[in-house]
Amino acid sequence: MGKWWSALFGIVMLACLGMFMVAPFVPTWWLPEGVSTHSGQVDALFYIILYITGFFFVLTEALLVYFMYKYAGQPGTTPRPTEPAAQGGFYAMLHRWFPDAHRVEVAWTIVPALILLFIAFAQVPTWLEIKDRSRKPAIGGEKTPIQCHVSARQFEWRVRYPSSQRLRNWQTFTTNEKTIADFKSFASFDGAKPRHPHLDDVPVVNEVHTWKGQTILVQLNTIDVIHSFNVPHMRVKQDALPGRTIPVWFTPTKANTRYNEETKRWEDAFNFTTGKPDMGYRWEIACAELCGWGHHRMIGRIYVHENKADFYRWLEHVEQSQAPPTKPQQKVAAR
Amino acid sequence: MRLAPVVLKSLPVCLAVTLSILLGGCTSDTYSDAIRYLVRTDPLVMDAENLGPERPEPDRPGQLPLMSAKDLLELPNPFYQNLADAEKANLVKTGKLRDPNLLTAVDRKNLQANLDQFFGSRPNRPRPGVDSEAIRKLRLDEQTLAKGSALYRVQCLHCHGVTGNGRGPTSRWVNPHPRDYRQGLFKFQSIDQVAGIRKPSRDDLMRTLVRGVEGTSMPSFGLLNHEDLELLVSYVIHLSIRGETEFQTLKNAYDYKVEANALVPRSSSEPLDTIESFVAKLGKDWVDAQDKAIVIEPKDDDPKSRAESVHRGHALFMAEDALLTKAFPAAKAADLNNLKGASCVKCHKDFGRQANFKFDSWGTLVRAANLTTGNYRGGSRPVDLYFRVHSGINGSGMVAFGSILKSEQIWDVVNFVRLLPYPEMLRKEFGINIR
Repeated sequence: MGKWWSALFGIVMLACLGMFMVAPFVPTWWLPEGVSTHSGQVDALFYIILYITGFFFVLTEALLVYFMYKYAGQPGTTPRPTEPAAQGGFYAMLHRWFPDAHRVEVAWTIVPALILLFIAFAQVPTWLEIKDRSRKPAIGGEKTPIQCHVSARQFEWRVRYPSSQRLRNWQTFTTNEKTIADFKSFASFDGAKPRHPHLDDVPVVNEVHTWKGQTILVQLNTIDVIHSFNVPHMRVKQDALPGRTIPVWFTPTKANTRYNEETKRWEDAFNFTTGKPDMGYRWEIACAELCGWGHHRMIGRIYVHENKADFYRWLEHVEQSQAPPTKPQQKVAAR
Repeated sequence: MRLAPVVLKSLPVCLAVTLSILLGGCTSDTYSDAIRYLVRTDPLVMDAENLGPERPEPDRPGQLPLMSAKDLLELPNPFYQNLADAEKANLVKTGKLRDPNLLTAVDRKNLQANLDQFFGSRPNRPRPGVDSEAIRKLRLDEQTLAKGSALYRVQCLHCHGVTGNGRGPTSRWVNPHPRDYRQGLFKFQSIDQVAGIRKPSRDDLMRTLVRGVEGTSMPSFGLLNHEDLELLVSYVIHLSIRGETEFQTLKNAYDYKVEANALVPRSSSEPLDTIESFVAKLGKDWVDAQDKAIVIEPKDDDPKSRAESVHRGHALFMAEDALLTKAFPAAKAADLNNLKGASCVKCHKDFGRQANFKFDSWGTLVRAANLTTGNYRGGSRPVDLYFRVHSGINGSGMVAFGSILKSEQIWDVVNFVRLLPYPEMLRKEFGINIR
């Protein structure tokens, strides 16, 4: 083969490079479209790391191919040591193959270390914004979130919403102490069980709803094994650990759900820009931690309504289907 | 070393293996023709109530609870360690179980042929069997069933089995075990059962598919598209009608002869007649049940009436005289006595924490739910609990209380039961102490 080996390695490198260049332009080959407020930052980190590793991949491969070509072995020759061995025994053998080149070694240790340091610090602001509890959206803060409780179990996501009335209170009376206490009590748990449940909580399965531009705070726990709440479109991924309740939050920037007059159901995968159903707008919650035989089917969906009114229409609809019909309240005479 | 010849020689073999795997996988969404609906071989439970006494433990240390009545026949069964040998055999001889293996070869062949005539012999070509009205109202036409059957094979078969017997390959590792459809009994439904056991509606089966059964291995299938779920519902109804026809025929058209230890046809009339009558009856039952949903009346709902309601629910649950007279001051003694009949605590001992194991209609050991865990298998919506109290849970021993309790009283029980997982809340907000 001789010098042909270098050609083989060169072709493989070029093929890899070519695939990376083409992939972003083929719809389902690359990252799904980011539709949350922080997806831009996550993607920026991804691209920074991709460019750095890509650059060094090309550099090292090019050097490899060049040296393979230049120093290709010929039949009948033996490798020639570059430096006479100073010591005998084991070290002589080692030195024969790995001659000392101190400066180069220092360089290839310090440069990657600096790059790693850069990456470690560059990602801090993004990480804080997505995960750090000090940035957790709070009631009365910059953005009052809606809350839901997602309880993972083999093999589905069981979701609990507060009643529409309670949710409206959280949204309206953001400085009222009672409301704030109520808001916090929603996420206070006794194991996997809410400590202060409300009789009018709304249970749904495999559906997390919010509306466009509205931050949602997901209180995540699991009732059996470890699961992972992964929403690629929202650039969110968080493990659910037994015995812990972990807050996850994101703010969608696009809507994908509308009420279908024909089927009388709220349906996702709807592209509001084109006004047509579009599978690119199906945003799945995929379990990202192998949790048992049904792991592959542990899929939920994110439903982002177009506006607040439509979201409440949905929530009230679910509420009505679960609760007893009530008599019209009698008017209380005003004093 | 020269690699090329070795590689070249093994290439055809590699290609053949790869191709056979790929092509074999291509037909995986259809049944092989070798898969047939067979006459059941596991025993029928004839007398669930007297299978054995209540017990505090399932009595099978280190093992899953009984999967089906078949486990009761398998010897030596640790379940019967403490009983006399004679009693083991008695289960069949006393008529509590009926073993279809005791049919003669000819009878079995006849039964198989007759069932096949109505329902088709293979799951890849199921036939509805029922009359045209039932086919129309329950969506049991052949096309729907064929599609539903293909989907069932992918999604359901590995637990629920080819004939819906709840004994698919994975069922052995699943606790509680998957449902056996072949008795036509469905636990979680919204159809009025006060006047007697009725079939569930299509919507009920759909709800179970979409929401799953919390606390069991039945997950939600809500991500399949709606039409596919409709197909599955149709096929489950088909399996249930086929299974129940077989069940009723084996139960009613044959007699067990103790001396011969055999099952013999009861009358001289053709078994086909009986099967036909069962199929017709079942088709009608299913159609009739569809519009018999439980009607829920509107009620007051404000914090004060809710608190009173929880107190009344507490009294009804405990069925104690002192509590009842306090909660229903206007009621007459006879009415109170009547209300005492709805005692929840009789089975849900210590709110279900010390409930005894009993045999259900499938011959497996079950216990009244532990209501302090907040896990409701039939759904956690208030209306779901209402349905359970009003119409009971078929096959499980939970009876319909709709005949004893009025609509408002059922809501009382529901309001109280929903607070049971949170004793602190009951104590602080309602002054009810439970330990």
